[in-house]
Amino acid sequence: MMDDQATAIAGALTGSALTRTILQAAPHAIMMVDAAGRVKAINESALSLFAHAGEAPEDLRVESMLPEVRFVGGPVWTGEDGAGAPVPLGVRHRLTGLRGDGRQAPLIAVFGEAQDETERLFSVFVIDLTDRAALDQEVQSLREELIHAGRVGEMAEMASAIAHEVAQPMSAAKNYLFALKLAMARPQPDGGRKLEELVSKVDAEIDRASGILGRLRNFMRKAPPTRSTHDLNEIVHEAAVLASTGAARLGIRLAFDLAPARPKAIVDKVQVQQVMVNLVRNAIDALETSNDRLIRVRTRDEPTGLVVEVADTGPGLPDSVLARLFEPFTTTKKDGMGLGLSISRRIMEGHGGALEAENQPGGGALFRMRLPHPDRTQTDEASA
Amino acid sequence: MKDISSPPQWENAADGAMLSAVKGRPVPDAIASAMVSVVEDDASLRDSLCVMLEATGFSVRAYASAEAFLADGAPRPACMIVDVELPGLDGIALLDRIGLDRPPAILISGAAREDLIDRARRYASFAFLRKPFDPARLVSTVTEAVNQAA
Repeated sequence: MMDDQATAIAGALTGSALTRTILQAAPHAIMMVDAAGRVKAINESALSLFAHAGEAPEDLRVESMLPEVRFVGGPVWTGEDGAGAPVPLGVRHRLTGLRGDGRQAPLIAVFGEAQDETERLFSVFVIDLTDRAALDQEVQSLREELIHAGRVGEMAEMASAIAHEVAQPMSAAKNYLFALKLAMARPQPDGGRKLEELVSKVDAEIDRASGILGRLRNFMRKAPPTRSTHDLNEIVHEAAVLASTGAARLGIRLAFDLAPARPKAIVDKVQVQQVMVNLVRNAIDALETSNDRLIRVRTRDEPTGLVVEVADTGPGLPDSVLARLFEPFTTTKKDGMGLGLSISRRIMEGHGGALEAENQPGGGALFRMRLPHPDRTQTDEASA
Repeated sequence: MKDISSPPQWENAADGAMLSAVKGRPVPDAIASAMVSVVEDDASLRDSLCVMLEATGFSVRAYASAEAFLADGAPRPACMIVDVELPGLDGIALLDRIGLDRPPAILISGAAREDLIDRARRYASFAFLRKPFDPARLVSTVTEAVNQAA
């Protein structure tokens, strides 16, 4: 490979029209520099990447384009780590370059050596990764958007249950206030104890409404994903309570069997809660036609990892659905988009875990979330 | 005589009893001591309805479910306040079960779905109020229902 490069460069220098055309038209930046880093030849791609407007090629210095590299009889590293050590030739290096427009650019550079008749020359091949990095970021941000959209979708499906649940305490508070107004207009034989009692009842109802809104707000928050250590039982319980808003009115019971050791998990809390909400909402929908309406939520600390299970007493999943359950747009619901479970599985896989589904021997569906133990999970704090 | 074109939910009812209740003047004895049954599964809302109606001078019997109301076998109340969304038998099914000879019933609901609300409006034998409702309006509606029943 080194020989090929040398041949190509030699050709360019000796004026082969063909080689020159190829180098000139190459989409990657290509330069020839001398042992002191002075630019001897440069192609269009390199000029447009590194040159300021109106800057002449002969004014360009490798050090200003690739600040991590200096030329002292050849390319050597600057900076503290291995300063002065030669840069290995013919190898791809991930560097941060300084573009002509002043912005930093992630790039790959390969240095090679070419011996001219008169002096030692070096070839510098550069691939600008700016577009690719932007694309990666775009994909990442779309993924986050999708997850958030899934959360909004879950909540939209719950909107009427939540509205109902907030209307209850509001209505109760108004009734107490009405009674309070009546009581205030009358003599207080008990020294105002009755009034105090009514005031604290109003207070409790406002707290109840605030609690529902608070859980909702936390869940809907659009924050960049962050992983930190959480009590698995707590986040599972909180999400199940939110998801089962209004379920009691449908005669649905929720039973918790939470690991007594209170295992810790390193997760993005909101995302894992999103999976929980999705599973519990699905279970509630599945129970619509059942007489026995129970949802069991279990957490376990197993040698292979942490496990969260959501099981229902519904009709279970037909084999045809089970096979495609986690594919997007698979749904058994009239109004569903069929994105919830595919997003949920992505979230679990993004955590180094898994999401599985099966039918229970005794009937009903069971969903199992798997998460790695905390000591096998990278935190954002640790990796940053 | 009532204007038959007026909406069945009585949402525009301006009523003397409401004003007198707000000012702390008791509604007339014969009406005020009337028995009102409340069927509501939410414990706080049920309690608040009892507190409010008793403060206005009504007697109240409260039930957490339709089944509890049906099992009670108490004498017929002068008026019923029934939550639409009840576990088990819901409010509308309860009214069906009691049949045509039921006391005037005020349905209350916190549902957001228009189809459910329309259904409740049609079934309410006296009035329909949406949670959170104006307590003064509930008191005036109850007073009116008791008047009608008397």
